[in-house]
Amino acid sequence: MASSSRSAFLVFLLGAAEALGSLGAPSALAATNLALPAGVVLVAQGASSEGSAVAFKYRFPNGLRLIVVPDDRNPVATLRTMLDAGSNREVPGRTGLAHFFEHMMFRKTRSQEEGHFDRTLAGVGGNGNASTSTDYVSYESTFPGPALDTMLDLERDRLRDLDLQDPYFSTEKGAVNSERSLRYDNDPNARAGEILRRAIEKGTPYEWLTIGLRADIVSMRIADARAFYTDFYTPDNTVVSVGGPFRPEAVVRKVFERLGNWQGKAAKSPVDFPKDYTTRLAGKEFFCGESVFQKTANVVFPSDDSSYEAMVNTLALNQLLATHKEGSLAYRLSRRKIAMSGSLYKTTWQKRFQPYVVSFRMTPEQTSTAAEKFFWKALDEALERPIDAAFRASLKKQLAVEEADTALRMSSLVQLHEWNEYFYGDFLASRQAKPLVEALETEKFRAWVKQTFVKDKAYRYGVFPKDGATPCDRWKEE
Amino acid sequence: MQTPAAFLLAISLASCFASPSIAQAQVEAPTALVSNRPATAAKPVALPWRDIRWPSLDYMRQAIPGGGALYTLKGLTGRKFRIDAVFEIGSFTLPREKRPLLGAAIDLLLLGGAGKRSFEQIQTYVLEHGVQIDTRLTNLGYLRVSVSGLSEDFDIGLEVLEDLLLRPRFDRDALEQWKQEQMDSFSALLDGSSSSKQARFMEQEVARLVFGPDHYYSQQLRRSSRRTTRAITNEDVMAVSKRLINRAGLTMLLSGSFTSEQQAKVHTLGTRLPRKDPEAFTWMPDRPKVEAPGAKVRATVIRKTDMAQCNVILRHYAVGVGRLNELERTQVALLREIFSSSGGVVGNDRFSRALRAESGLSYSPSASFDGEAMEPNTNVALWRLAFQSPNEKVGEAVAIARQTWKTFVAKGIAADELERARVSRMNMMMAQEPTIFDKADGLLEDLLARQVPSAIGLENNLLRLERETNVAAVNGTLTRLAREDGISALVIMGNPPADQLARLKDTGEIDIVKEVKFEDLVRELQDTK
Repeated sequence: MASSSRSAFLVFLLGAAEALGSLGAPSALAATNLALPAGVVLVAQGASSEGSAVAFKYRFPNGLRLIVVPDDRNPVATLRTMLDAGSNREVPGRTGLAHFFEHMMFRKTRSQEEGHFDRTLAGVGGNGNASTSTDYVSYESTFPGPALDTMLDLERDRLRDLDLQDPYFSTEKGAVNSERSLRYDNDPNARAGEILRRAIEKGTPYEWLTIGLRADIVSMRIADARAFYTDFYTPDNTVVSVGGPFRPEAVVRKVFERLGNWQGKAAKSPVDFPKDYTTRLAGKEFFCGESVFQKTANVVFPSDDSSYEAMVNTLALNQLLATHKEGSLAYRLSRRKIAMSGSLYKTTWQKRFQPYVVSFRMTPEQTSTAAEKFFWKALDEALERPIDAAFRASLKKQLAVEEADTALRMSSLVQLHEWNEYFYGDFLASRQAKPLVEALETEKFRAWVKQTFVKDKAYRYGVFPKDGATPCDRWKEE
Repeated sequence: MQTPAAFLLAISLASCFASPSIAQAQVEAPTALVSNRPATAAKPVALPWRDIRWPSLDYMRQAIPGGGALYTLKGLTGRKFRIDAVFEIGSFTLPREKRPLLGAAIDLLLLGGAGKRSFEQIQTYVLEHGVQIDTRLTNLGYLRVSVSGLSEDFDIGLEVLEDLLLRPRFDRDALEQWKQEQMDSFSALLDGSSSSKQARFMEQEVARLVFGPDHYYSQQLRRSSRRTTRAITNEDVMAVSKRLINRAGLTMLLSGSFTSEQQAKVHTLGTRLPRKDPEAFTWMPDRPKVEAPGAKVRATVIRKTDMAQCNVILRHYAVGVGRLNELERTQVALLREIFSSSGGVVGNDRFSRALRAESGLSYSPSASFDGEAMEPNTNVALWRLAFQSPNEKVGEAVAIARQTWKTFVAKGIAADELERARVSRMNMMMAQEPTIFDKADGLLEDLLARQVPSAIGLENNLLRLERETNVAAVNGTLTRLAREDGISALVIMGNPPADQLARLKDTGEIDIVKEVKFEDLVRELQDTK
């Protein structure tokens, strides 16, 4: 390296050191449109919470969304890529493709030998991971800041020039089948879950597990994988997020150099949801027996409400259930020997449909009927409490603790922005939380609970110990 | 604070530096052992860590009269605080048979209510104020009580902690509630329905192979059994609980964002804790006996017929190695990186390359090293290997794992591997994002291990890595830690066919001493009437 560049690099590192030494709040780095590549637009900027780093969102002409979170507290950077290429993009007979593809993204590209990704990531001292679900696939890596160009090169290569061929393709099938055995085939609860899911989600893109059927994994063809790549690994389907000690426009330029001319338009999902998806299972039950000790039972309230307000309402409901004078819902269930535990959650990791689930774990002697009855009673008691200033304050306190925890790490902030963007269409969506809490009002909240948690509109499913229960294989035959 | 202009300069320079040369500088490859995967990127380049002003670990110590100490570790940003209080009563200070009582007493500190509040009231109170409180055992078996929250709620957190430590109620019905929960959880364990439950049984069998069936480590499941739990009485728990909170040997740690007034309050709490006779270890788990060199690997097969693939663990205990010194710790970190790296990278290390990238047999092969596997009774180091295999290929998978391990031990590592691992680990230091609470955890770990924490630990690590270029020295440490008179154990859980077990026996290196049905292991732990 030329001496002038070397000494200049020292300036960078010393600069980073000063930021590091001060450990002050992240620098406020303004961004303007003036320095951006042609066609790239700064859509918005802002902080997700008081005191956290300002984030920037850009849109490229090809539809790619880029989020940048400048943060100079540590010399570390993070790169995340999230695509709408989950298992809901598959078809029966070719299940498991999205997840298998995630594995292949670490193998070979057209310009590099097999193993290049691993070796390069390890060489720069980085670490990485990926995950696939019904509604997304996500890749993430964390590495020293100066390795950003190298990591963006790797990301470009695999997003645009993945090389799918044997023997790696076939070798990876073995690893995926091993994962399937570990997570599902060796676990009676998971085995039963797969069977029940097929019955419950019949005819929808959620009918099969993300990992896919074993037979489909074994028979997977390179041609199918290539088609999946072309159809769904496209810029308009992608959110890229970068965090670290960088100026945002510099990151935009670097990403644009590599992904700015990436072409493609996402195909439609081959399997769609039926029009009556949220109502077709009302009142139905799906229970069966496996070789397990515990009973599990779930009451599902279908919903297509993916608004942030619904998320905040769920938080409020959980807070009411948890702060009963006799203890949390789980504690009361256990104390009265009705169930071992119980919880309520909203499926926020799905895009179109985000059902509410009340879930119980029970001993063989306990019954799901009694557990559910207790839940309804607990819900009625919760609704008797007013949403007053003290309650709103406690909810804001929970949010503040979560914000404080997220703000401790740049990588957590980046993930928050990424998920906000992906699931709510607004990378600053979590800013809505406090105003929504402040606007919470007793009657409106009660009305929301009553129209969301309707006994007759729910369906139920669960796994019981074998003795006295219909075997899960019965659902397989149906 | 960084200025925008400096950042602009920084980014353009980062572009200069962070070129492909980081990963692809051309270097002459040595003629020693080379890895099987194509050597695409050659030697990685170490980033200039010396140019960074690394934060030091600036903790303070304040004595608590009577044998305690309060440590403080301030974070300059962040809105949260945490207080930890560690008491030296633990698994090895009480008689061995009282271990289940210790678990009960620790849980009931909270579950039994404190001050004017029952557990339910504590639950509601802390939830409303965003405070968290918990009690647990450390890895040395000490009691640790922790409270955390937003700094603005410091007084609430301190109030709850004070109640717990000075006024625990041990409400009588809480013990029955605790017992019921424990027994239900234990019963749920017995279905072996998940990999984590399966691992508990495998750990029991490894311990039996290495230490014998009556050893402390071999009895962990039995200590949690329904029969043992049912036998616990309130009087027994009260007797143990009287020893829990003791200022003698107390370690308190205040971390995060706090004022000097708040620190003074924590110190005052420490001085108000009762001072009793100090605790001391009264027993330690026995070390395994040394084997003759060349002894076979002892194996147990747990047959669970509904498993589609086997889980496998291979352990090698090196007995008599003594405590590792600073140089050896660095060398072992490098050895581990070469054999089975952390960081989610698959196929770049020997173990995952062999068992996943090249053979596709196992989804998550992993290996780790523990230099003080039997802390507090040291002198025993442990290599842990774990992987999965289809039932019908477990013989092949074990053979690959053993061969990978034996080659590693017998031939050592090559200079190019050492170089890659060294540089990679140095660069990894720049990819860390430790929070103040991560640093507090590290500080607490050092303090409890009676090691004076270094204020410049990060830089020390980097310096040691930078200097660790002598491959012969590293290989020497490997030889010592994988010595032939160690004890090797293999446990397979799954449904392997007979021919695969025959294949294992035919190697002449593996002695299957036990084949047992999972149901029989469960039966041992169930109540008999």
